[in-house]
Amino acid sequence: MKILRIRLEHFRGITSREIVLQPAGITVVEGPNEVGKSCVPEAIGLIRSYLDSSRAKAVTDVRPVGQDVGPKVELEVVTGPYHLVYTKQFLWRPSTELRILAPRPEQLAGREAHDRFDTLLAETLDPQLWDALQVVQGDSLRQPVLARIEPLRTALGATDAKPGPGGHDALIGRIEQEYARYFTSKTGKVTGDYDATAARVASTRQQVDQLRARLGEAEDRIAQYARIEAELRQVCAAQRPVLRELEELRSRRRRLDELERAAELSRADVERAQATQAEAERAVAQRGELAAEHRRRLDEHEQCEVELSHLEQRCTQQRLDADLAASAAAEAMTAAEQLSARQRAADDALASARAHQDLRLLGDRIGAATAARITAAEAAARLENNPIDDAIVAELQAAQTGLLVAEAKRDAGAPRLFVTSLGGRRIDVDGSTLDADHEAAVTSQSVVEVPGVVRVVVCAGQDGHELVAAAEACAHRWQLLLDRHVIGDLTTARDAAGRRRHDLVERQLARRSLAEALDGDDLDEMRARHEALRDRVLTPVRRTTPSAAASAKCVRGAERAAGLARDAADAAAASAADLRAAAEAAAGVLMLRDVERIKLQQRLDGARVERERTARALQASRDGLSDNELRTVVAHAVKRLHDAVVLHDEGRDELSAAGADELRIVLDNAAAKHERLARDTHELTAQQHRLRGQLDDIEGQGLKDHLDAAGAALDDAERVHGRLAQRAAAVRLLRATFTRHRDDAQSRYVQPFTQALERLGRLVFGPEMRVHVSPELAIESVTRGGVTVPFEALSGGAKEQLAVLGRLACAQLVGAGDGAPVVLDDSLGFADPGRLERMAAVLNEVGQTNQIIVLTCQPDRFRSIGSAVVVRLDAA
Amino acid sequence: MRLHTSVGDGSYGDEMRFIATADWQLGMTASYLTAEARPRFAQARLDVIRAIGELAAERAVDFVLVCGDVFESNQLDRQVVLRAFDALRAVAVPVYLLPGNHDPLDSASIYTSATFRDRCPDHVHVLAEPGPVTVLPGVEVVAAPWSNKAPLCDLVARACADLGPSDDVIRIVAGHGVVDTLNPDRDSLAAISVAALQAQVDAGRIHMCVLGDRHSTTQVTERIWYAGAPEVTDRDETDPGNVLVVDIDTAQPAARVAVERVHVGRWEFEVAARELGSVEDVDALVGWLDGHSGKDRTAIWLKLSGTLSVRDKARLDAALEEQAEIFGSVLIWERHYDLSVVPDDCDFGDLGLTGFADDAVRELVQMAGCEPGGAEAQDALGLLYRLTEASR
Repeated sequence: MKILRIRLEHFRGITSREIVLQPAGITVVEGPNEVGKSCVPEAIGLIRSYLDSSRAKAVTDVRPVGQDVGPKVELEVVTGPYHLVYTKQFLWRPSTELRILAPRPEQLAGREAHDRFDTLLAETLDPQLWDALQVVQGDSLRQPVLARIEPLRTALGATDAKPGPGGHDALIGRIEQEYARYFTSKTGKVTGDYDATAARVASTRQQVDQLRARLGEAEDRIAQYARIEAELRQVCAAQRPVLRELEELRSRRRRLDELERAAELSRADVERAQATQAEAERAVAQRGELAAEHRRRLDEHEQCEVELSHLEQRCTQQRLDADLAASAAAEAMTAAEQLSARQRAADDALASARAHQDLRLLGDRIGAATAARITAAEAAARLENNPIDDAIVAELQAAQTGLLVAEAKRDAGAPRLFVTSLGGRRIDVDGSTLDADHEAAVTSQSVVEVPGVVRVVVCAGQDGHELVAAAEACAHRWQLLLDRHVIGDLTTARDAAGRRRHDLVERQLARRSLAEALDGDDLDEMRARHEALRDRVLTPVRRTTPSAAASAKCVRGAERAAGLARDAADAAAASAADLRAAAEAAAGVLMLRDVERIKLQQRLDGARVERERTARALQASRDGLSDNELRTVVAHAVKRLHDAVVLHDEGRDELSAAGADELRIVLDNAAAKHERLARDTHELTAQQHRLRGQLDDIEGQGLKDHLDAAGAALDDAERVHGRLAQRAAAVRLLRATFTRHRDDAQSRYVQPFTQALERLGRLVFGPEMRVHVSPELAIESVTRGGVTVPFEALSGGAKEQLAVLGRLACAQLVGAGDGAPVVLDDSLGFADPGRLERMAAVLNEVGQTNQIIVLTCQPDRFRSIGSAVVVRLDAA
Repeated sequence: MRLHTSVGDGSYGDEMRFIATADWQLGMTASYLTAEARPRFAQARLDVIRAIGELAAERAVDFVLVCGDVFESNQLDRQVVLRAFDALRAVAVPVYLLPGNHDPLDSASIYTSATFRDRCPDHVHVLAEPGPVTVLPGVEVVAAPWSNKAPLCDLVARACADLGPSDDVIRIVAGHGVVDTLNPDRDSLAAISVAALQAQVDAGRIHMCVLGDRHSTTQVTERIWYAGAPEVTDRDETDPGNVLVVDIDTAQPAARVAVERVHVGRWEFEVAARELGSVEDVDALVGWLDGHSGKDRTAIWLKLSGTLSVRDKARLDAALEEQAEIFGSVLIWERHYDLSVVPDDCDFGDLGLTGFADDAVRELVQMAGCEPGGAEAQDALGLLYRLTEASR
């Protein structure tokens, strides 16, 4: 399409203006801001999109403020084979008019005109191309979307025929839509119903599997039940012969038990017979022992009797011997007694003589003693009266001496007072009237007074007093001694002492004589003895006391006679004692014999008793069972034992023949077999019950129903899913095929587009410039001087220039015929003057073949475009 | 015994009559049907019991003998049993149920379940023990029930092993399983020996043998029959939906047995093979489908082959999608699917595709003609066709 002319009336600030555009080449529409350079594309948009009756905001916006007029647009274009003028007035007296000038003149109005214009435009202009080639003000940095532009694609694809309206995008869109029913567009994941049916198939299949497994399980159990039943039958069948065998073995066992019991009994029999035999033998032995003992007792008795008779003979002899000895002893005794009497008489005579002698001696001693005692007593009495002894004398003498010495000392030391009466006046000395001269030692003080005249006091000195006192003390002691001994003076004392010494000697002598006479005895006792002795000795007949000599002579003769008599008596006594001893010995022997005899007698008695007892026992035993009978009993017992042993041996043989051990083993085995079968039966029955329970649980659950229902559901789900899967596969294949071919085609387009772009680009960016273009025909990156920069990272200027270059390349490729005008509204504002210069060159070059409309408020920007025709819009 | 007088020429004596059926498969779920059609199908197989009840009354039969697989499984919900009993109450005569391989008398058998024991109507009997059971005076059913899913012998032969001369008794064998003459696995231990059974027939010890397991009504020998399922259960069944009305002359049971197959089922399962080469073929197929009556009781499996343009294939798909909503089910049998889609000039020529779009379509067209990925490319082209349809 080419726009030849636009006429605007009452359009924004424009009252009426016609803009003529170069059909091929560049038209620069200049105008300050707000004047309406943008009115050109806006007017084209309105006339295309809105009915004349429209009151849309876009329409009302263009009405001049405050004027009651209708905006009017007239557009003259050449598009495809058509050359037409299209006029539309909005709002006020709206009208639409289409004049077709070529190829066949035609005129339409109103709605018909509008629709026809749409149809013609749709037929000849790709709306995407139209959009792509317009740079709207303020959007110059964005790349156009070129890949879907059919004319461009047609231009790029050498073989492609002309595509129908809507192209393949609609078809691709429908394929995508269909695809989206089954898969997600990004990752191709299964989705929607297709996914849901797959899930349903899976879950239903799981259900079917589970049910099938359960049913299989149930069938296994049923089979197991049948197996167990069969096994039970087998076990029961197997049990019967085992039971029979067991029964038979048990009866054999019972028979064996009987045999064992019989053997037991016969053994007891043997033992009993053995006991009986032993007992009989013991009885025989006892009988023998009894007889032997009896014989022993008889012998013993007999022997005792013999011994006793011997002993009695010996006793008789002994008695005779003893009698003889006794009489001999008696005679000797008598003789001895006579001699003893004689001896006693001699002794008496001796005693009498001695008594007489003693009486005389005792009397003498008593007399001497009595005399001595009297003498002593007299001396003693004298001594009693005279106590003055030599010691006293000495004491007296000493005292007298002391006194004399003391008086001498006193007298020598004391002042001497001499008073002599010289007148006749009375003189008192010491209270005593002096009648003579007075001389005295003054020992203490002496007062000499002449009454009425004078009083002289003489006082002894200190020494004088002491000496006086000492003399007084000695005198006192002396007087005391005299007083004590009741003696007048020393001489008398000395005499008394001489007498005393004499008396003492006398008394001493008397005492010695007394002691000699007493010779230790007491005088009174001696007197009593003497008295008694005298009474005894001196018979009334003979009251005389023989002399001492006579009595001594008498004594000596009596002593002699007594000695002789004693010797004779002693000899006789000794002889008698011997004989008596012999007699006593004989009597002792006799007594022993008698004891012996008595003992023997007792033994004899015992032996007799024993003999009688054994005789009785033997008799009693024989009375019970005679010896013969006893022998028969023994023989019988022996025979019985033999019989029993034989019987027992027979039983044992039979028992061993019965094979008890073997029977036990077989029986045990049979019993175990039976037990095992019983256990098997029990276990199988238990299993059967268990299974029965499980089967009862299964019963009525309708597992098969459920399985079939689930299977049907699975079939349904699989059918549905299968259909979906088939469709999904179809759409996937379709989409994949289309996408692949489209991408291939696009990448084939990329090459010529890149070449066209680079050709233009090199004019601006230099000969080394290279671009990388995506299959969507978007510039992805630019390489200059070996450095590749992504489009988005480029400077604003470069982006804008490349975006414009892309459009220009597109327009160039599409060519004038199918193309659309390139409209640059306020573009290239980012370009520096150098670039602008080069862009101008490019625009000039493209303008050779394509219509380019540049709208700008900066006329200088596009001054350099050589072939540009400038249209100035001034403020109306 | 109720006695019937033959409607024939009257030369026969009194007759005994019963309905033989099998393979009710109650509780079966038909997963190939649409979810919406499944309850209808389940209900239909209960309704068919009532239809049998009506037939029993109409033909005045003495009893109904169901030869195995009464239930689809032992592991069913109790409501299946309760609904079955409810339907069975519509049958006025005694009904004898034989446990089959689907519902064997094992330890979890549905027949011994509490619900069954407690709620079983009085006139319904389970043939639990192998061997003869007197069902009427002078009539014995020799039952060969399954006690587990894998018997190790010919159960029918075993049940008949101890049979003596029939004398005055009519003997009907009720069995279940594959007969050896029809069984490809001839070594199968459980296969029913036809020869042995026929020998019993020939010896006069049995007079009729009804078998279950084969859902298509099949006459094996003169007196050995598969009753078939009274309502179709699978697309490979050749003659399902029948029961047998069996008449036996009580006076001369060995002389004549009349077996009549009566169709009671209401559902149809069809397999249709079509080679499609043009829009006319597509339209013909759609017309054929449209022509069906009772679409809601019909399931169709299509074996498609041939070559269609993208446009025609899209037309076919749209039509089948619509029909699938109306029918019990319309399924393309994948295993037998051999339909190629080849874009022709008409498909995309008027789209004005240029450049890469044109290249892409060319590539897909090329892919569509070769494997692998051909089907997917065909689908992609179909989709492209659909997406561009609006702009045509």
